[in-house]
Amino acid sequence: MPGREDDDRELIVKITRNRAWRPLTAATALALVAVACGGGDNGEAENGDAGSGEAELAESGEVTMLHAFTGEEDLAGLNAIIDAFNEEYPDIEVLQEGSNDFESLARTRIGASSAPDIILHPQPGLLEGFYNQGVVQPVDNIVDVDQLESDAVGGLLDLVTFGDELYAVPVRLALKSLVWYSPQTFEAGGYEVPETWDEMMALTDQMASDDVVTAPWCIGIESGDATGWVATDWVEDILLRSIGPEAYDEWVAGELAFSSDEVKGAIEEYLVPIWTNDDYVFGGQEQIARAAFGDSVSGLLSDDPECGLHRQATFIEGFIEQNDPDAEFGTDYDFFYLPPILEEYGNPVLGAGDFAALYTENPAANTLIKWLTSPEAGEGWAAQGGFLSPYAPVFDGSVYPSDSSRRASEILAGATSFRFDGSDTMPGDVGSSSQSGSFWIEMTDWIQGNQSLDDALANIDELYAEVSG
Amino acid sequence: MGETLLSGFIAILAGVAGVFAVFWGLNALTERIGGTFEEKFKPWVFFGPAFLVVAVFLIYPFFDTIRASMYADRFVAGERPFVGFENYQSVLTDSETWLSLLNNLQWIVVVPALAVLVGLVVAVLADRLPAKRESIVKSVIFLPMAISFVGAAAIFELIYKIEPASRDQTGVLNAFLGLFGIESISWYGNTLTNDFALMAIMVWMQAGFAMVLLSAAIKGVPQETIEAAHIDGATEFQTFFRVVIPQIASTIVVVLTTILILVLKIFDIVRVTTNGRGNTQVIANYFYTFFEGGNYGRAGVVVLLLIFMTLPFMIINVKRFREQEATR
Repeated sequence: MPGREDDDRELIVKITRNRAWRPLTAATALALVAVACGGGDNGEAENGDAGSGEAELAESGEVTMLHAFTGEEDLAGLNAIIDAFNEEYPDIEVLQEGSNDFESLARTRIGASSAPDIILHPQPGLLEGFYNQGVVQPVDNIVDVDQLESDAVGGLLDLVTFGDELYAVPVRLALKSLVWYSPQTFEAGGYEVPETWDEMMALTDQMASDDVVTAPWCIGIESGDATGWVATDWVEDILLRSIGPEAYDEWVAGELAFSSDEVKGAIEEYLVPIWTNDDYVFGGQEQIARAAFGDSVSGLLSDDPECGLHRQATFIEGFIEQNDPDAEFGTDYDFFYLPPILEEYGNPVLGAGDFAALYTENPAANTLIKWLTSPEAGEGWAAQGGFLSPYAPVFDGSVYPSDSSRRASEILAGATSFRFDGSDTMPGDVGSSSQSGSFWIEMTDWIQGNQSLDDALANIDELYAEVSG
Repeated sequence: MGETLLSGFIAILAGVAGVFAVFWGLNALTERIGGTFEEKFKPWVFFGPAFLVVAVFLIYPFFDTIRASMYADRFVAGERPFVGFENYQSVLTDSETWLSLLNNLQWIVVVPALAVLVGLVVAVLADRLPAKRESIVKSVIFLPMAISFVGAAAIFELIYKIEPASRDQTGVLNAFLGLFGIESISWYGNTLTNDFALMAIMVWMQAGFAMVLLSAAIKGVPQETIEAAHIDGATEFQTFFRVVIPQIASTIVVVLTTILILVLKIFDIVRVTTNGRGNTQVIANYFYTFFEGGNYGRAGVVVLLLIFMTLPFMIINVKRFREQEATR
């Protein structure tokens, strides 16, 4: 965009300077256009036989894949998966492409009928949108659904099953219901890992009055144009523990309003007391929206720790390592399972993950989709870290490189219920966009002190009603 | 990587050569036919391809945007149904729209005026320096023009940053305030300061552009008129405001409107800093948020709004240029 304004101006200057330049300017413009058009030779996917029954599988060909991974570690992990696939199918070339602007890119490609063969979806909400658009291919006739059902973490397939047909296969999971801490801080203060929410609040109180840490919690929800997602994770974890997985499902589906007594009540009772208490949060409430989520965890690890607790998903370990390469899991930092609130709901677990969905009829892509459903497919990535297998019940845990992954996998396998990140499952406009009225934006506006919680929740309800209406 | 670079290089070469060949070939063709035909058609040969490019990439999308603005954002049975003016109603009754419009208005009032003011002051003062120093000063002021909006926003992040009270302030502004014992300000978070904090970035970037054009205009003011004013006993200020300013007025207007059009489309700076949070939303970012979410209908309405806001200023600008051209 910045280029265009400058061009306007250059053009104006040129025109006033010398009229003879005009044809040349036009020629240059045309040349640029020619380049722009010539560059993108994606090629239409060749249509295979898409009859009923078993889908056609090919042992050679080309598969294009679009994903949202841009970080070095994620890309290395994905490449490990692709390498393992190529060992078995050396004649299938997988062309993967990652983008920060994944969502608009996917939409544009699909809109222009040049969809990639496979899209790796971090948000089932967007996949459902594409399903409604009628552009996704079902994978029922490619994979063994019954086998998948018994191998995968419970409830995972329901997320990508629309109208009785399966539309994607899970590739990776992340576990979100974790509280990170430093064992050294806990030792210095004589603290113990809490088993219940009440114990956790008592610990919070204790930390606030002690001098071991500046404040009990480090909370940061700043994340560029996705600012606010950390807040939605907190709300989801609290709801799972206070109103239960079934009411949670209703809430995600838009049947239970954000302003309802259940949801609003739970936020007021469990989130507000921590978030709005300046003694409980490092830097006070106002710091929450300013602190970048990846930086805020650094407060745990220092000689003079700024905080003692940090609730975040498994992937925060990468940020910890980045901030302090010498830190070791188990001695310098550790995590515990975010404790339950009401006993009747057991130990629910909140997670997120990536699903591979099929957008063309390409037999080689079918082969890749089918291959991804074997639990061993993820071993390459698992060995690198930053990866939990969605097939936790049958996955070989010894592949994981660290105790942290193994323990997270145990929590996952031992959970009484698993629920996917609700904001990623809601319609994209509500759950994962930065338009006004979205879950992200309204929670951020609230914690910044720009509006009341009541207004924030009512605004989200309003957008949800508009979107589904 | 190397392969991509190579194919990109070949594409550029082939593109430029191809276009050259097209123009050369068409030109040769008309010359061969000759006579009145050549006279009549030669302009079209050169104008035609440019027009085609504009038509395909500007005019057609414009009408397609109007079409898209009348179709729903939600899919019904795999299609976006026609909804007429429903999107218009939805956008125009959304308080966010009016907030964005108000903010854009704030931007177009403050930024062009300040950029021209700063540019003018620098141009006038630099004019009095020896030639070598003048060019150094002007280069420094012009430098920010070479930085991308996103880069500028990243630079200002270092200026506006705020740390928790228990840490040392690393942001330049807040560290400075700290010297005087003044409490740190969240420049992007505070709704009183955030709009102006963002505008300051734009002024910093555009003052150089204003300075260059205004400096040229000032140098173009005939020395006799200034000397005459001095002989008549006018003070420096009187000379500047009554003799110099009227003579560079047309350039000031052109600079103002050019920056104004740029500011109307302000997007990058807001996108990468506040992303519209804390009441800083502007039309272009508001549009992009809809676009990103696949809400092409409402995105279309907003972008049409932006076009119709920009249009009058474009017309003024072109008119001014024509007048200027005519007087030369």
